[in-house]
Amino acid sequence: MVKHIFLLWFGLCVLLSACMPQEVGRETIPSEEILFTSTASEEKTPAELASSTPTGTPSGINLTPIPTIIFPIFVYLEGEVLMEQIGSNAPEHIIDLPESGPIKDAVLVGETLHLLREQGIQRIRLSEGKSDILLRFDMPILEGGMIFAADYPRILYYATESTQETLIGYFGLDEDTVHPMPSLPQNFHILGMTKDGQGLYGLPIGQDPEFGKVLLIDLEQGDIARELPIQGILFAALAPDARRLATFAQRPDPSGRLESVIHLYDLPSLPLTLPRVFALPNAPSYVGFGGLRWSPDSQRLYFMLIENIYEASATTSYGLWRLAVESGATDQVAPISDPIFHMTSISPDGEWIVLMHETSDEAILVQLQTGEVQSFSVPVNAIVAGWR
Amino acid sequence: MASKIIIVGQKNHDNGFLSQRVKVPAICFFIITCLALLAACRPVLDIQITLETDELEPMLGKVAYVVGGDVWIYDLDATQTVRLTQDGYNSNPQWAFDGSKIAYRKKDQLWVMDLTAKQAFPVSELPVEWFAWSSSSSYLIYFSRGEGLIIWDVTNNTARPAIPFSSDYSVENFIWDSQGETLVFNKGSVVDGLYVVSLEKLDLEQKDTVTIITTSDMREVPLLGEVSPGGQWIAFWRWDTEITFFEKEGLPLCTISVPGGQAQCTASKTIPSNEFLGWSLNGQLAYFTTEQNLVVADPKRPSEQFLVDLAYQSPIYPEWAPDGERIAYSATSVGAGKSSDVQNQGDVCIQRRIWVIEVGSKRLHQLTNDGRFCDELPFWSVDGKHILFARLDKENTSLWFMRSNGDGLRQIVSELTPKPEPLGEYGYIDWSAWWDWWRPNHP
Repeated sequence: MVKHIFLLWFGLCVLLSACMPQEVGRETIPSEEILFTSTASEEKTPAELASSTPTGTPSGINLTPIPTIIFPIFVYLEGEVLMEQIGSNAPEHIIDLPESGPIKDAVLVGETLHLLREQGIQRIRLSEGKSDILLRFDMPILEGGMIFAADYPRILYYATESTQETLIGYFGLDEDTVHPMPSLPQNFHILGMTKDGQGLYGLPIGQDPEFGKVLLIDLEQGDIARELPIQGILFAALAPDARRLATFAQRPDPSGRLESVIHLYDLPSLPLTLPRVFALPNAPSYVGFGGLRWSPDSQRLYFMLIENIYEASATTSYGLWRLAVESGATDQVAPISDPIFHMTSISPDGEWIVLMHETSDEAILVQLQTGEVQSFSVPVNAIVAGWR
Repeated sequence: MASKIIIVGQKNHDNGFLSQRVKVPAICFFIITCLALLAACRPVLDIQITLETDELEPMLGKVAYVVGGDVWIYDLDATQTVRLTQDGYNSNPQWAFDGSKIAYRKKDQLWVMDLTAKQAFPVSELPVEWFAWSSSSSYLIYFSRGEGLIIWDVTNNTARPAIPFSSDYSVENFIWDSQGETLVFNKGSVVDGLYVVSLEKLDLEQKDTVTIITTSDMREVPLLGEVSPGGQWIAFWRWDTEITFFEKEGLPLCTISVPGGQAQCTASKTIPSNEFLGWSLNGQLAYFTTEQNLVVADPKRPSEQFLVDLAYQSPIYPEWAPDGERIAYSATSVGAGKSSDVQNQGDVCIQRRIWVIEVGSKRLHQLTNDGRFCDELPFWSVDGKHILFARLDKENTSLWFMRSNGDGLRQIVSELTPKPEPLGEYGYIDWSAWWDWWRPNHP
């Protein structure tokens, strides 16, 4: 009898071990181990991290290598200091920036940092520690932003000296030349560049959170060529493929109540095409702070889903969500409970996303495949420069 | 010598004999010859007679135009002017086919002025983007984003939706053929997650739409152009939507029969705007290519006839004469330089003139040549003997009238205001906002 029970128990153990998914070991690696490994070897780059082996392992024992998580290097500005962040490690100082007036935005391309300052655009080569002024504005700007259009490659900028006009232009990285354009008599933000590189898409900004058009700006003529009809509230994001524009919107449901949706426009074919419409999960719900962010391959949209954006600090968070735009399927990436975390940046490989808190020095790094979350500290007013 | 005299005398004698014997046949022969000569000279005589008597020609029609934001009428036959509106908020006058009514915009709303009853009334209180009259003048069709496409019956002031507003599709670019029979438009929809664009025809009798062409390939989007008179053919542009500024680069121009079928597309590119193409009454399509050649195509026989190279002349507005043998258009003078140079010299507008080309002989005639003006948008009278066109100068925009050979030029409307932007959008102006010509019996 005992023999039979033992045989049955042994058989069950064999079956269980055969059925064990191979990835389980990988998913349950404690983050502390990886951090210990990373810290102990003082590694800096993802490549070095990838090739490293864990230390502190007794020699002579042949263990299966523990897969390491390669954290990207997130770069941000803390005042006039450029900092980098790897996983949940302590942030590290990269370089002190020269004091040349308030910084409105920053874009890191390779080892070159581009700063949109109140007085102009400054370039800093990190490896050489040298800086130069690419463009000086006639008047100090109130606010503005920069976008790296990698395919062209150009850094687009927009800035307002007043609420009535917008300065726009671009810096061609290959030609090493800034192309400023005459100011346009509207207040708008640049969304990105047209596919053929001959124009820019701009989103008018005003008091009203609703918007109804996207401006198509002719770079050669230096003026607004067309107004493309769209519908949206608060958030709009142009995909890296320069075709798809996602907006947060609302529509009446069959009972007459407003339902939150994402509109997906094929921007170049407007006004002849109709947007695809995707209802948000967990209705009634809203896209939260940080709006909509595209994956680098233009296949997925990420957004924080919250119960009520009009009372965001006191509402319920449904976490970080993802929409697969081809299939229309939505799923939760990570259950982030605080509703006022907002997305700030997606890593160039599309594997990671950083969310920062609206009111405190907290930030989280989310692995988008697994939903694993790392917490770290970033000043609430930090300016995101990009990734290394 | 004697014999010589005899011979001469003989001859003289014979002449006298003949004049008596064949007097009647000779006269007949003379008359027949004269008639033949007359017949041969008929076209010339026609023109001469016309030029002498055309001041008496009735029914040139009436022009509705906008001054100070109000609609006025100028009667070309009676040479009289009448003011229709008073509040200064009006534009886009459009005549009903029978000339009894004018539809127009008051701010964004659509209004109708009944000229017989001398009454004006609103048709839609919502902003209206497009409107046109039916050939019977008994109903008006309009499109409003809030209502959809609406047919409004003039006789009993009732409206019914032709294509109701829906979030399931979008409709754009309505074109009704010049005879008010065939309405076509672009329709956008999402099918199985794909963006789809089609050309549709509205069948007013069946109250249904018929798909002419449809695609989900965003490199071959049909961008609607013009419908031929009578509605047998549609001109459209094949739009690769990755070409953002097609106004500059141009697109292939295609024609397709209204029941549908295989589209024929040109090898050359055309600026996708109706200001650069025009249908003749017999179904021939004239258009300016981006290389600024004037080309005529017949959709029944897929072929293109090159007429003239108008490089650097910024040609626009090809308008067929009713006889289908001449095309009027607006272009700068030969050798005037590139349009940008001409703009700078004039400092106010593109220095275009009115031209006519004879399609058969390809002979060109420059009808206007006044350096103070930029001449635009020629229209033929129904008999093809007159041309009405718009003129811009530094101070003003006006309407002018002349014979089809350029003679008898006179101003008929001294002011169109609020003044259009002289360079318009990409160099052309939407003149329908300022004037419309009712031509009685215009086919």
